[in-house]
Amino acid sequence: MYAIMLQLGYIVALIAGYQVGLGAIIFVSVIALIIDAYSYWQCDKIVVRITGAQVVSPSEAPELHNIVEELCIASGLPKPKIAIVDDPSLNAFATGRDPHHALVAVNTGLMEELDKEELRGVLAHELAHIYNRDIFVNSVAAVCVRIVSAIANGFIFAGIAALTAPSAPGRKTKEQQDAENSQRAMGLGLLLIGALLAITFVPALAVLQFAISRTRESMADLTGVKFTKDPEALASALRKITGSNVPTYTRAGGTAHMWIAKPRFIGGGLGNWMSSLTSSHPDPVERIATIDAVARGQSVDLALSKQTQSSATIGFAGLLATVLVVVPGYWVGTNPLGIGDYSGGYSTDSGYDDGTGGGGSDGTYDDGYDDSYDGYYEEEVNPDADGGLGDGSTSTEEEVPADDATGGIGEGSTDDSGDVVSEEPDASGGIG
Amino acid sequence: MIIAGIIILLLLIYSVIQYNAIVQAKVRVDSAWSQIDVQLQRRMDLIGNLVETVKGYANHEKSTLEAVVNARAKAISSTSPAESAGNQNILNQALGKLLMVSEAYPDLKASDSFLNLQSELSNSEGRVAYARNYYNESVQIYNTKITSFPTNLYAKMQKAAEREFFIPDEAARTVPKVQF
Repeated sequence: MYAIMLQLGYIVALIAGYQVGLGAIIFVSVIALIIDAYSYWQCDKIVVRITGAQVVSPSEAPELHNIVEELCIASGLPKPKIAIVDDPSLNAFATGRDPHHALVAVNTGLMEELDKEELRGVLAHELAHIYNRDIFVNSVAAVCVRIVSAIANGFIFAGIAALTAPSAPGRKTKEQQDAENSQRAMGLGLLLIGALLAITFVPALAVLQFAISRTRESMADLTGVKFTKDPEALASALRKITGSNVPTYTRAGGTAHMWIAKPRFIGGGLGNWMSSLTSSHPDPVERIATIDAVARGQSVDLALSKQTQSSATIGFAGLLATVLVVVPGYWVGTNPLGIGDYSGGYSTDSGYDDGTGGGGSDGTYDDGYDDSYDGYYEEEVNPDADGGLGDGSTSTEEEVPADDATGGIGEGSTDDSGDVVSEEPDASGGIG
Repeated sequence: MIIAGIIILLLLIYSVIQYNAIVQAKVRVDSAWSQIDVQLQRRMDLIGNLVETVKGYANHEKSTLEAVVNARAKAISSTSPAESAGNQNILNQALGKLLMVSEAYPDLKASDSFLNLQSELSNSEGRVAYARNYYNESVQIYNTKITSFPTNLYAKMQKAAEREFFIPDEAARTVPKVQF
């Protein structure tokens, strides 16, 4: 849902200029974060609603409760809620923000097809997810990817907005032209940064996120085996689950990492086409091999795969490259972030604020303007110093209805820092 | 000066964390032990009920019944993990004998309460085993922590002593299981 909101933020950025757009993107991102935090906090309840799991009491499912109680003794965990999903596929999942708010759910298909030992193996795997705090780990990973991709998209859209913003109408002074050029350069810089992030760092983080999910899955296998001391049962359960030709369909792609076996997505498409690089679950054959190795007493290595390592390397190289573009770009004077040149110089001037505070009548406005800018004009914009007073006052008289958008450089920029940016003319005028 | 202050501060923080980690590990061992206690208590209750049930059908197997009753009393009164494990073994042997003797009484074998107790006892066996695993793992974590450097320094500060493992005699433990 907030993906749509984010896209709306980008569109606003395109229409209303990059400053308003950046504000909108930050606003929407904050809302998205709040929603993320809320859904993590309430994930047991939300997931139950999505999957249609029914919480069962000890009298309704005595065997299930008995197994979970044993495993809680073995793991020292508090007893989670237990739910059954009316679904013929062989699958199970665990959720909940912490061990005290955990829920373990089992599909009816799993209860029918597996014997008691195998069911215990699967439930131990699910309890291991709770024990290892995997719900938290996966949520944090997902939020990190979302934030970074939102930042990258924000850069791209802000860059496009700055590049395509209409230039101020009418005759332009040299300074206005310079400022407009600087805005275009800044737009290009933003676009470049965003694109670099989007093609390197964001996919690398996404691949890392899936790698984390797979590693936690294998870890849960091993932790679960530690609880039951029965690796054969889990291996045989996984063999049955893999061999089953009844797939689990899920409406919510974000819940994929919770299931013991990778679910398919309703409507197929991209979700089912995922390669080994972007799978939420390890290859079941490898999983069984790992468990068998543990059963034989060998030590196992849950290191990231070569593919994951190389894509992560590319991603961080991309981030490095981005930094290497931004920093020299900033120093050379491309000024990609568009701060520090004009608004910085004026906003430190406290005299101006007093002027605008009582700036209802022309008289007070002029006064404030005179007082605060005399010194500045003498120092920086020498040619304008003599005519500075005249210029300033005439332009205010002429263009009060147009919100000073096309006034002198001084005025345009002071508007920017003085007023909260709110309108399109302001946004382009702020730079010009 | 500032650097020295920062180093001392970091050392202090590290010490507090390590000290508390030992306390935490100790609490985990204690709670794991109380979990074993809970499970053993349940098992003792079940064995008491079993003895009563068998008495009703085979009262003249006095020596076997008495052996179980005595072993049970001893097991309940044991305090340390090692003592408890030893007494549990004696109880298991006596219990195995009792169940073997019960084979000769078809009425007893067919009675609902006896069958029920048998399955509950086997269930309880499993729970004791799980609680024991958890306890032993907790002890291992705790003992490693208080004996390895540098955490052993913080262990000395709180006079933390090594804990005993709860190791059952495998051969004796499997006797009642064979019966079910």
